[in-house]
Amino acid sequence: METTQHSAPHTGGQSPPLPVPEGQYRPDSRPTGSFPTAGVRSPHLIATNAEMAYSSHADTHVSLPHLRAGVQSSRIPVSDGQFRPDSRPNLAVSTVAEPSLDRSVTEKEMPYASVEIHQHIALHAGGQSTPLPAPEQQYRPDSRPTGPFPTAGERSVQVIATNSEIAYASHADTQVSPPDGQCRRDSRPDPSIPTAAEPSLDRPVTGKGLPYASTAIHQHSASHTGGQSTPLPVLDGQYRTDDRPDPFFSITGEPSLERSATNGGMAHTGTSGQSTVFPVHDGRYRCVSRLVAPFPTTFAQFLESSVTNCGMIRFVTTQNVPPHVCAPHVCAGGQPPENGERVFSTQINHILEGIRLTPLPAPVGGLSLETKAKNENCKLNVIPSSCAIVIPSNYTTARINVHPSLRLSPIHAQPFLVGDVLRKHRSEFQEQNESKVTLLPHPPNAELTSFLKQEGTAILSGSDRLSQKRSHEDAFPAFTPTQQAVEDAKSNFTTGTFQEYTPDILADVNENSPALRTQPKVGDTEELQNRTIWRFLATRPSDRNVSAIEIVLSSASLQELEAIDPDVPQALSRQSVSLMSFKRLKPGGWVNDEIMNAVGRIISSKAFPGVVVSSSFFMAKLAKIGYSAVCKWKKNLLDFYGGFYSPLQNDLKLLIPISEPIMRNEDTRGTHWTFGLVDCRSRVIEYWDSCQGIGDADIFFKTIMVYLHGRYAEEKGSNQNIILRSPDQWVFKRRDVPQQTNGWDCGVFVLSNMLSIGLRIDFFQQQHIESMRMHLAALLLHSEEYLKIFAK
Amino acid sequence: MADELENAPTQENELPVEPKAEDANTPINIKVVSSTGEEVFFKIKRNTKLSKLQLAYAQKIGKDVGTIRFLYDGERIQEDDTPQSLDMEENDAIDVMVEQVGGRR
Repeated sequence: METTQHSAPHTGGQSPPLPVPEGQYRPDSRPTGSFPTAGVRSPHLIATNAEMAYSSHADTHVSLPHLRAGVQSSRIPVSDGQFRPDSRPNLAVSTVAEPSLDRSVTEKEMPYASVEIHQHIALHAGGQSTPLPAPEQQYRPDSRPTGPFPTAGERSVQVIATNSEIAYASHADTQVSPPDGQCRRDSRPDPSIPTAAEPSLDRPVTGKGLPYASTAIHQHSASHTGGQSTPLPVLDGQYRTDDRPDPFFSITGEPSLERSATNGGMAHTGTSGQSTVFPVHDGRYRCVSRLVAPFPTTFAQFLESSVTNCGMIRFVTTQNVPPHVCAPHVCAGGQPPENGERVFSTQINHILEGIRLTPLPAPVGGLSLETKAKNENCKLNVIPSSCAIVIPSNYTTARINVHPSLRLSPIHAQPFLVGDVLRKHRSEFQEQNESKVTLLPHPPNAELTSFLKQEGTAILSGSDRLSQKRSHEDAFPAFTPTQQAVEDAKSNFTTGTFQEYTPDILADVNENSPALRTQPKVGDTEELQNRTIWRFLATRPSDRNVSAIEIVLSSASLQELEAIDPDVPQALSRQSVSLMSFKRLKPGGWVNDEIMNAVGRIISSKAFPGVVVSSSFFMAKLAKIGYSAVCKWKKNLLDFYGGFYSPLQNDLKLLIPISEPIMRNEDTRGTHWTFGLVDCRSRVIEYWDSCQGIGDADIFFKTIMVYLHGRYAEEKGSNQNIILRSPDQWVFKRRDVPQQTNGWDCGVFVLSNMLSIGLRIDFFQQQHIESMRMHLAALLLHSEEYLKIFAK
Repeated sequence: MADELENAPTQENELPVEPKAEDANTPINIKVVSSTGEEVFFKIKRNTKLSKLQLAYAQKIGKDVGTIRFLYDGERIQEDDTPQSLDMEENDAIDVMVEQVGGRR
């Protein structure tokens, strides 16, 4: 065991800020000389990362505890894997650890960055770790384990600190409840996993995909003898090469981190850059290098430019590598392999070739292309529209992964072919596909889909139905009330505090609330008239009018009601809403779960494809009991829409009415409604609170991540041969929504939000929040007709 | 846990009307799980309306049936639902939740 490297005093999990003993750490992870110092770059980094991670979340308030004196560092409630640790930039920690952060930025911006990387790699190929003068003040105190490794529990603490520093430093205003001492599920080293796992702690930091880091890893892995788990020096490259064999790299933790980092960059760079991750997996180690090519690019172009720009990539494997694939120890002075390990460096196309020639186990539902005929050993998995190629193998796996967000950009990546196909037909392929299939489009076009089917490609279950169902590319733009609309809604709302529909109020409503007018008004446009409650009621076949709903709202009993309108009791029964509950729609009434769930059902049945409304009891059950309690809820529907982690473009939106407080005595009925939204397309989990400060977003985020992790395990289990998207890529966001000014309308806000998203009824834009109660009454009583008129 | 109570006061009145009488008549055990996790088992014929079970449960715990909600797989159990119509299986759980309200005061 080479624990001596870590022999620095270790305080049992408490990691004091350690000055980095020279020579002990990260030999290669730090750029030497040519790079600006971490401190210099950090500001830039921060800004960039902040942009990446949060550019769209100006309103997010996540507060972090002050982990470091004088630094207001927000802390991620690192609980049970609920937060993505690394996607969030850390102002405070812009030190050593961050080069990785910088790196991504740098790479994108600086074409030559990769060159430097390679130089660096070459320098360090010797395995001699260049002692990095570790500026003490630069180090994150806890990121380095010293001496004997702390136990998992101990390390988790470190992780928390690290993550929190990193994740939220840029959000000084955020407030976070203290962590429960919980860690991201995957950041915790798996006890069952031998040491190699440990570096993973650092991983989050480095997750940004530092080329350095990967190099460091490789060296480390090189020096790592098979069964002996040498505690990996936690490089500030922070990478852990996972020794967990994961043929597909879809394991929660690692690849996802990589990808999230990568994605984060990509997501917001638009057309500025494309990053690709090549995790190479030999069953024990993974080498990751990050390549950036100018955008736009085809894969072929990308490969070419990658080779040109990046040159060498170093891999370590315990398997025999065919000699013609690569020359072992190409990197001068490479650390000698041990115990049969092979270290090789090669160019990208060689790597691909090597993969092609690598013996593969029985394919797992792979797509075999021409290479199959030529080489029985080669299998390709092309996942439609995920822009990914997977070559599953127990020996070597390479994945070229382009973030799905690219598909949102006008320029698309192209379907990839690797190895023989690519080499031989690169130009041909390029021409063909550039003119014909620019991308595996979303939804995958029929031609391509059928082709893939013929080839036996495993397509995610549900994808076919999905592609049929989603015939509209742009059916679901994000619901974003304009600023003006929000302002209007707010100001308008203040006038909506009437308690009863008295004649005065009706007059006022007629004057100020077009949607509630009981009579048309001169000057209203046709369109406006058509979208008013008045028109809705007036155009109904029967002679019901507004007063009918009023009567319902104010009637004493069902019998009384039945005498007036026999259809009403039936309608209520159909919706499973009692009259008592229905009368809560009177102004001032608190909405209850019956109304909430009845409207939810209507939305579910009429909503745009992909919209699923959860029960209002969902969060309560989930928070109290856990995933097992709700795993079957809406399962069929969620599966039908592709689940949460499909690599396919996925429009699934889960709308969650939340009865606050989520954690409360079981016998209490709650005091507040908020709204949660899980948007699979943008990978955002939003929390909408019409009375900010009442609801607890952190608990919601934690709780929903319990569910999403549970779903991940489930979806992974049922789609073994598909690389799912990572469960760690979710972005948490507190949506800035119109605020209620009274003490009773929160449920109406939630219902309005759900209608807006599910049925695209733009109440906010019509400035009619105060008329929502009438809308909801009309919706429940006459859902068919109502939807015909109001739903787009 | 699992106080096995044969809750049959009403189900005797139910006559099988389904053609698959034998199947419909087969009683199954259903457990009702409160929001605190306490479980109460009911034995009920497959074609007996679950509303009877709801009433019995509400009575047992001393609450108005209008203030509690019975969910099966997250969906509110409707007036006419029976174990058969819901395709329930032996030992399936019905979740009982307390009414939720909210207004923020």
